[in-house]
Amino acid sequence: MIRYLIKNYLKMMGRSPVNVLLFIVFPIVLIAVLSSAFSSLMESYERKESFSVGYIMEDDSIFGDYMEEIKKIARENDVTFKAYDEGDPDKLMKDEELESFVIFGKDDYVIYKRTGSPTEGMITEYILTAFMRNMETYREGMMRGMEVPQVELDVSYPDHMPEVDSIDYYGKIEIIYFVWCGLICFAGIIMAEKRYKISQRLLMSGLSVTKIYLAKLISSTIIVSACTLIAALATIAMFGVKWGAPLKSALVIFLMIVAALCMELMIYYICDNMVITIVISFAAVWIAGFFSGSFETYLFSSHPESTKVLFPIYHGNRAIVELASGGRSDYFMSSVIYSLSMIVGCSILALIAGKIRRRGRA
Amino acid sequence: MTVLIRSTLKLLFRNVGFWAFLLFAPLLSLLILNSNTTYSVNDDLDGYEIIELETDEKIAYYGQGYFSVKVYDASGSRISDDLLNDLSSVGMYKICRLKCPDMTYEEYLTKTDNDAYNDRMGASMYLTKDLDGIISQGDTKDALKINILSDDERSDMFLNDVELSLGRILIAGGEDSFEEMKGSAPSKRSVTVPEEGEIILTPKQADDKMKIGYAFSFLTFGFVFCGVFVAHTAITEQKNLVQLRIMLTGEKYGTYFVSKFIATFITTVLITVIISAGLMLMDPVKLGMGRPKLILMIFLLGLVESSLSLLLGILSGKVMTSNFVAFSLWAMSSLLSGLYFPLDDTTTTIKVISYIMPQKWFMNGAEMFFAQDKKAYLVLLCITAAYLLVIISVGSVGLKIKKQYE
Repeated sequence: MIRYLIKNYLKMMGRSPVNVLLFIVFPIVLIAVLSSAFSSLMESYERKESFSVGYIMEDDSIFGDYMEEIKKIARENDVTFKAYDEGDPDKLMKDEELESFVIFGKDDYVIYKRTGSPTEGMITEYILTAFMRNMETYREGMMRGMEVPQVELDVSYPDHMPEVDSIDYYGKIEIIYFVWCGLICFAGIIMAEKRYKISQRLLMSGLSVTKIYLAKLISSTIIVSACTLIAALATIAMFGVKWGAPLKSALVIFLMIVAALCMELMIYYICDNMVITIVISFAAVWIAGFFSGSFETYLFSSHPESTKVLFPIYHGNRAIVELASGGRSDYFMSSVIYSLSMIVGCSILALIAGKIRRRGRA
Repeated sequence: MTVLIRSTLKLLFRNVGFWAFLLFAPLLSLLILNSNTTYSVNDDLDGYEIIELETDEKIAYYGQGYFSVKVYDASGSRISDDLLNDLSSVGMYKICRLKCPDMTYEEYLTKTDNDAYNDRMGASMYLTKDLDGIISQGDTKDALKINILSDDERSDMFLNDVELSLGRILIAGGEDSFEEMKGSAPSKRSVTVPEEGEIILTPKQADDKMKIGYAFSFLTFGFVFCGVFVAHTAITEQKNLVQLRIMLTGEKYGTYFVSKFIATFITTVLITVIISAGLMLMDPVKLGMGRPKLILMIFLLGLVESSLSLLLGILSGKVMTSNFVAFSLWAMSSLLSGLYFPLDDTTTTIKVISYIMPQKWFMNGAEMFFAQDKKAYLVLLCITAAYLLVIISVGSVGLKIKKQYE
């Protein structure tokens, strides 16, 4: 009997376009927007292999004598300095494909940086600043009759969180967030069941509360898992999101799908009202997502760590992101344990509530 | 036509929900526009300033392309100031300093463990309490500790610069000498040049743009749902066969849709009047542009959004579906038009999609107004006219086709 119920639920859920919209389109839109919003904050340092910088040397400039030395140092950094007699730096940069431009005045210099090439502008400035400072230090040392002192530094390289760019972060995090909204899959069906008194007929048919609960849980798990898989594959195809440790990641996500559905079914079994269930579940998931890095990256948010660890989404988010970036995560086990505890705890409570309600009706 | 418009408006004004949206959206937008919240994290475009942290906060937001360094400064001395200012002026590092006179090295190590996994930075640095004393003895190794906390290849440049700055401080010997030494060096200035068509906003303008974006989002919400309320009247008229009776009187589908459009136009005017009244009480400096410009933008945006939701609502044919469509239209178009976050670095596909969203053009218009570009008027009027032309044509034809299929 349970087989037929599952099959029937699957058919009905599979036909609903809302599932597709919620589980595939919404996360993809959110990934695109949030990854874009945080891209400059989360991007790693990356420079063009080689690039050109234009310069104009004014006639009485003190830099004239050092230009060959500057060019040599720049070449060592794969930067080519090109001389121009005159012209507008803005126009020259655009026409001649220069990443930045320098005007060497009498005893000062102006660096023009393009907004589209901030890193290259920074490198140009770094090369010039380092050169000027070295010159200044040697000159000062000579004047004072001192050699440039040897400076020793105490530098350590401890383990740290590998850098994750915004696409790789939100590409996973939003999929996880929507996993927790699995309720929407069966909300319509349960509402229809109630409207047409099918749930009462099912109870009269001799099916136990446990079997009906399992039928709902198994069918919704299958649909949510399938939609999540499609969404994850879409993120790989569209954005090139890198998912690491596939088996462990799949386990974490699958357990979260079941845990989320158990929690939402439990709320429904307790309050027996789908509208209230939707409001409570979505509010709870939004709050959990807010503290767990679903909207603002958890590395950036200033919420206390002690608050974040209260939410299962945080454990899942960290496990998935860290498994992909570093191959291991301290949050893998905690996420699995958290989800399993929720599955067991919520199922027991849901079944108790269901049985009490059945007895009350009988 | 007049009778149709009058009856639609009567139905609207009897609806409490309509009044709620009519007042709620402008009021919320006014609150946002009037707020003093700042949204830009970093006002220092060249990165030459040290960021002084009041509390032990995360520095991930300060990075933004720079090699960020969190400095735990137990010294608070002249040399620490000299060193950090010297590093900041390179233009590649964002130095964030927390003054913590009582912090021990062991406490710093505990902080670093946390920073390595719960914050994002290039390196962290600890300046010991007796920094000046130790450095004056030439012992730089014990004076400061550095932990590299990223795989950023600029970490080597950073270490070189720390060595160079310390060398300069040692050579100079004293405070005045170091200042003198820096003063004799050639001065530098950096200028940021925008790309083709790009407008560089000042931090104040960027803040104003963010505020306008959020305000536009709430206004869009109001406009879209006011359009939907007009659509509800059309849907109910379809269901109750009122529309059929109107058509039997010889009216055309085009006239019927235009009457609904005019009702939408009137609701847009109402919202614009309410928000204009609020704007008159506000300090114009807070808006970043003249009131007439902002009011014009709000009116044109409202016209497009409410008409669009009217069209989609009528074509959906169901009250619940039209609500769902309106909500999706608001949520998706606000996200994809960059009302909440800039979409400058996104994929080409998303950029193309974002240009279909009306709000995107109005945000561009706001930028043009900030830059005193008079072409903004033409752009906004053309965009509004184009959207309205499409909406009215599709609405008139769509209704006819829909009726034929039914």
